[in-house]
Order: sequence, then C-alpha cells, then structure tokens
Amino acid sequence: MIKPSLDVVKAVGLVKDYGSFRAVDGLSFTLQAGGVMGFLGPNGAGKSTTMRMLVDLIRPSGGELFLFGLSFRTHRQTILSRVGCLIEKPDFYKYLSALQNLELLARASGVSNPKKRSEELMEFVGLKGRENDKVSSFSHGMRQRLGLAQCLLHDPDLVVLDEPGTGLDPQGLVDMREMIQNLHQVQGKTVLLSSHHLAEVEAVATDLVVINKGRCVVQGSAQTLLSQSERQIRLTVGRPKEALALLNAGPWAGGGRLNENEELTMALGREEVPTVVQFLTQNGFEVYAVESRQKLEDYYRKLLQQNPHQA
Amino acid sequence: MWWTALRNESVKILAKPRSYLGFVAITLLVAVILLALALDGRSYIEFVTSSLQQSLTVEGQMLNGYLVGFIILQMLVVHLPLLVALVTGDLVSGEAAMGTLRNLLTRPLSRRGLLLSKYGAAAVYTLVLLFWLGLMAVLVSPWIFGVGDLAVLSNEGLQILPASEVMPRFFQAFGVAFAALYTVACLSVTFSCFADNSIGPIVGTMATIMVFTLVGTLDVALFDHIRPFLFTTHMAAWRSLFLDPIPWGDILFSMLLLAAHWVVLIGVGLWTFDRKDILT
Amino acid sequence: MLGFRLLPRFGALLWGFLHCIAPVQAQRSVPEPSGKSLTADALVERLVQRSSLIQDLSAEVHVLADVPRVKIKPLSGTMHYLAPDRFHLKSTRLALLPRQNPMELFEFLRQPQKYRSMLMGNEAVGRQSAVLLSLLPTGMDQDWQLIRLWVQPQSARILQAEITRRSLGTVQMQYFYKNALSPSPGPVPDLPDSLLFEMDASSLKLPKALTADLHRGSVRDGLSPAQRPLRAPDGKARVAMGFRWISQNQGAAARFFKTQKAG
Repeated sequence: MIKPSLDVVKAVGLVKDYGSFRAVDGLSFTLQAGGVMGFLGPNGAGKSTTMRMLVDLIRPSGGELFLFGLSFRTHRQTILSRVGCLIEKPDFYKYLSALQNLELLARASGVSNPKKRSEELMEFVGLKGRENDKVSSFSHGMRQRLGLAQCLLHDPDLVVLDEPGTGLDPQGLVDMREMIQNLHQVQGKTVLLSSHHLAEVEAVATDLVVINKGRCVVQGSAQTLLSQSERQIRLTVGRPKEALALLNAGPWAGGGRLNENEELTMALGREEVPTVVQFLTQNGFEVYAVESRQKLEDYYRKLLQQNPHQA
Repeated sequence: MWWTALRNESVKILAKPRSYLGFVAITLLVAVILLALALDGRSYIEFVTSSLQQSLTVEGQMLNGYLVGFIILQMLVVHLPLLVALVTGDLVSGEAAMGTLRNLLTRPLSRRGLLLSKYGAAAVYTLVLLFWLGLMAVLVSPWIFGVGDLAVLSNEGLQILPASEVMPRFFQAFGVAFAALYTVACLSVTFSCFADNSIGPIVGTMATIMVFTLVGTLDVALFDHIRPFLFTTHMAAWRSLFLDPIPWGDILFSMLLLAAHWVVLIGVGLWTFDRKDILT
Repeated sequence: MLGFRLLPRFGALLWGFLHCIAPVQAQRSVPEPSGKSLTADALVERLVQRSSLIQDLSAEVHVLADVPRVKIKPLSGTMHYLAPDRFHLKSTRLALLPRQNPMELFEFLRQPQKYRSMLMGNEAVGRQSAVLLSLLPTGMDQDWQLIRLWVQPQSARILQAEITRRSLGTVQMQYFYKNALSPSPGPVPDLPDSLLFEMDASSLKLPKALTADLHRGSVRDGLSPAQRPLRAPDGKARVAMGFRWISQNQGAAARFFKTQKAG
C-alpha cells in the first residue's frame, strides 16, 4: 500500500518519435495512488506507446517520466518490482504449462515461493484445475486471465492493463471487471487501464485521461468530467412524432430525435429535465418513462469531435 | 538473480522441441558414419595407406575407435555451427516474435542481466551438444571398433599418436572446439538482438560463417592480413591438438582470438539490447 | 662406430637407439677352421647351415621408423617367427614395418637350389672387413632378383644385405651384433641384435584430399600456406628393429601361432 496522495505516475511532456513520426507529443498526466485511471483514446492515439513507456519497454525520446517519484534511468529495477503489467495480448511459452509459465515469471520477479504464488493466482483468476495444461490449449479468454495473473505475481502496487478485455465474451468482460475492482477496492492497488470497452472503463474508472494524436485532451476525475457534460435523456411518450414536432417548434428546436424504438432522446442539462417533462404533459402528451444517463461513450465521442488537440 | 535467469533460460531450452533437433541430427550423422566405416572402413584406410604399402606394412588395427572418433569430430567444422545457431539464434528474437520478451523485460531484472543469462544459456547448450558429440565419438566408437593408435593426416603427412596420448588430446580438443562453437553461439545471439524473428539470425550466422570461410580459403594476397583474425580461421584449431609436437603457441593465439570475439560480440549485444525498443 | 655413416638424418635418436640396443663392437676374427681360401660355395654352405637353425624364434622388439611425411613414435612389442613364413609383431601400438620381414632372408638362404652365388671381392662395412657375396635367382619367375650380402669371412656373419625384389624394389638391411660369435663345435643360429632397413620412399604420396592443416603457414611464422615448405625428404624410409631374443627354437612361436589360430 502506498500513501493516497502520492503521484504513482507522473508524466511530464513525454515524447516518442519513430523516425519522423511522432507517436507521443508532449503528453503530461498524473495518476495518484489508489485510483483506477481510464486511459482512453482512438486507435493510433499513442496509448500503447505510452503504456510501454510506463514499463520501460520503450524509452521516451523526450520528456520526463516518474513512477513512485523515481526515474527509470536510475531506479529501473526498483520501479519494476512495484509495477505489474499486461501489455496487449498476453503471450506465453506455448510449450510450457500454465503453471510453468507463471513459475518462470515468478522466479524472474524474485518471488520467494514461485509455485505457491502461481497456484494462488491461478485460483484468483479462475483457472484452478488448469495448472498443468499447456498454454497452447488455452482459449483467448483463458490466456487473458493468465495474463492478469502474471502481472500480479510480485504483488505490485501499480497494475498497468493495456486493453485487458480484448476478445473476451460478455461474461469474460464482467469477470475481468470484477477482478479489476477487486484489485482496486480489496487489494488497494492503483490501476491504469486502457480499453476500447468504454462501458467497462466507466464501470471501474475513478479518473480519466483522454489522449488523441499523442497529446492529452482531458484529464480529471471521472465523476467530475461526466457530471459537467450534458445528459442524454430518453423519454417514452405517447405519440412520439407529434411530441418531437412540438419540441422542435418550441425552445428545444433541433435538440431531440427519435431512436429506433421511437423513443424521444434529447441532450439536456440536469435542470432542464423537469421543464421538458412538464411542457409535454401540459400539452397533453403522456410521459411513461424518463431515463437520464451520462454515458462515457457519448462524452468521449463528443470530446474528440470538439477539441481533438485540447490539452 | 542472474543464476535465476540462467535457470529460466535453461528450462525454456529444455522444454523447446527445437533444442533436441541437434542431438537427433548428431546421433543420426554419427550412426551413418559408424555404419559406413563398419561396412567399408578398410577401403578408407587403404586409400590413405596405399602409397605406404609399396614398401612398408602397417601392423595393428588402424581402423579403431579413436580414428572413427576423430572422423566424427571432423563434422564439427560443418554441421555443429548450424545446429548451435538453430537454437541460440532464437534466444532473443524468438521471444520477441512470440511476444514473451515483453513479459520478461517488465520484471525487476536488468536488461543486461537477462541478456547475459541468454549468453550463458547459449554456452550451456553448446557445451551439452558438444558433450553429446563427444560421447558418440569417444565412447561409442571405441566400444564398437576398439582402441588403438590414432593415425591422423595433416598437411605435413601422417601422424601416428600412441593410444595412451589420445584421450587427453581429445579432451583438450573439445575444449578448443567449445571456444570455436561458442563464438558461433555468441554471434547468433548478438544477431538475435537486432531481429524480431528467428530465421534472420540463424541465416545471418550461417551466411557470415560461409563468407568468412570463403575469405579464409581464397589464397589471395588481399585477404592475407585479415585471414588470421577471422574466427572461422580458428574453428579447426582443435585439430592442432593431434599434431606432434602440439603447437601450443598457435592454439593459445586461436583461443585468445576467439575469446576476443566473445567479448566484442557480447558487448555489441548488450549495447543494442539495452537501447532496444520492444515493440512486439 | 660401425654404421655411423649409414645413420639417417634423425641420426642422434637412431644412433642412440642402436647404440643402446646393440652396441657395436669390433669383431674378433675367427680363423677358418680349415685354413683354406674362402669360396662362394663354402660361404653359402655356412650361411645355409646357420639359416637352417632359425626355425622358431620369439623376441622382445623395439621398432623405430623414420619415414618421410610420417611421424610415429618408437614402440615395443613381441615378435614371433615360425619357419618358413609366419611372422607376427604383437603390440598394442600401430607399427610401420618393412614389407619384407626380418627373417625372410634366412628363409631364402635355406634353399640354395634357388640361387647361384658369386664372390665379388672384399669390401669394408664400417670398420669391418667383409666379402661381398652376390646371389642370383636361378629361375626367371622368382620375385627375388638380386641379393648382395656383405659377410664377415671368418664368422660367416651377415653384416649388410641388399635385396632387390620385383614387388618391393631394393631394400638395404644392416645387421648389428652385440657380441662376437663364440666358437662352438657346431653351427649356431647367428641372430642380430638389431636390424636397420632402408628403402626408397621417394614415391610416397599421401592423399591431399584428406589433408587440411590450419596452422600450416600460420601468422606466427609469417609464411602463407603456399610458401611454407614441407619437410624435405631425402627419399628414404628407415626402420630400425632391436631384438632381445627370448626363445630360440623352443616352440614359443609355434605355441603363439597355434593360439592365434585357435582364437
């Protein structure tokens, strides 16, 4: 466990060039202890490059990177002893069993009882009973679980997960989410998580960083960021087309639309919701249901459309 | 931690099916040689001694296990470098291709320590492969053909070494041969640091050996100055241990040169691997 | 020292070898019993008598070979000879021996009907005086073409032989004896203590396809492979054999060959 106020990750003006192509362009962000940071961005934004820099697989071309207040240049092994990572798809030695793979990595991590620790983690990720099976016989979902296990071998303080839900079925996604929540809420670990499954990120993240074209677009607490955004209101009304026409003739012109279920959807601020409901009912329309959500997916999409380079 | 990393590398080599190709190949090649000599070794001997027999006769068993063992060792020059490179060329680039390199490099183990453990594993593998060849040459052959004086051909003629001197020379020869083969292993591991696939380092190593061997055998004045410093020139240094007297000075020079190659190759490998971006 | 002029270029070693094995001493003259002039026939008759006594011999033998382009260390073994033509050197080592076994000359001498003899005058062999006896085969189809023997007239002891055979070319043999021949009432086998064979080896060639010497022309002597000369041969191959006779006509060789046959 580490002090909650400590910056576990501090990136200052990170740059990474591949020849003439700049993959990361002055990225700065911090991650405090005890949080789950959702690290978001479109394909090619520089997420994986940044993740790899965080675990010293790639060396930055410029800028500074501190983990636990330490630099890789001087404290590489100390840092890595406190960081566990799952970068992209988990790869293992196919000719070894699951347990052998974990034991090998546990020995490399300096774990005192590799076999015991490996067995514990196999149980944690739901692979108990499959210890002696060759990894070549594992499904993708099982390998993802094993991937999570390998990053926890040395009980790290910071867990870096790069798209851990890739290729998982819905149940697998739920299981992965629960494991991440366990890491954060039960084990007190700090998690940095990147994923294209925004619903899963939304469910676990306490902080968000959105990057695009190698730069930070926005960073902050997930709750704060999402609360500042417009809500999507879904109204189930009688005679939806007429209701929409009425709204378009009034102060909410152009703000509403009908979805595929003929439900009325509108982007409204929190204070406007009762006003709209009242307007409809006063004009003789039946309002059967009101659903109000601040969807990350919507926020994210809008954010990237509006200010792709805003830092 | 280096010993732990070496243990890990050894576990991986032992578990990989490719690692056993070399042993199978050696066993098959040796079996072919043993069979050929058992069936028609006399012709081989007569080919060598036919000129002598105009006025002299050779009493005793020239075709014995030591001579067969020596013939088997001749394989070192051609076959073993490939069998070594097949495994050692895969040690870094194979892991990069498999994606397991990033698992290892995110452990609290220095990159240099990890790479040195791979060079160490390459040494162990080379030693074990050579040991297997030695077993075939020095134990199986005498068991089948018996023992006796060893008749060796060199540019200076026919050398007949007493049987009592042969085994110590064989052991020394294996030591020198290890130095040569480990140079091949270091070369392939170093190439492996530059690549993200297995085939490149293996082919690169064999291509280097072929080019250097060609340069070493072409009797061209242009190459006279570089020839002594090519490691391929010294890959057959072990044969000098079967001359009488043994040219210890030449052998020492060969060993020092090969050791210098190790240092340079390992240095280049460490420098490259330390700075390499792991993108796979 | 007798035989010194004949020592090969590895002289010191061979000289010491022969000197230790068969120190050459000046031979005391043994007067002819009859006092008559020596004739070829008389000399041959004595040689035949001596040769006939050589039937079953065993000896500890040391062999030293100096052959161009061949390096082989001295070796020891046990030699067995059983008349007329069974010869075997038993050793743990590989031995280079002359194609002509040491006792073949005696076998030939035992059959006087196969040759004619002529005395060709006196010649010195080292410091010893000897008569030169030439033997020519009587038949045209024999392998033996000419034998020249340098024989000590008083003792009828062979000091040197030169044998020319169709199959083997010319072989020269020098006989060395430790002690003078003791007078005895009857003929005794006159066995040499060492023999030196010398034969032409200028045509000796070893296959080049199997030769590859890394350090020939190494950087240390500054010579390229083409420049570094091979060991300059004088074209002669020499084999020296020293004997310690352990059994003369006592059946040891017969027993050995019987055991070999049974084995």
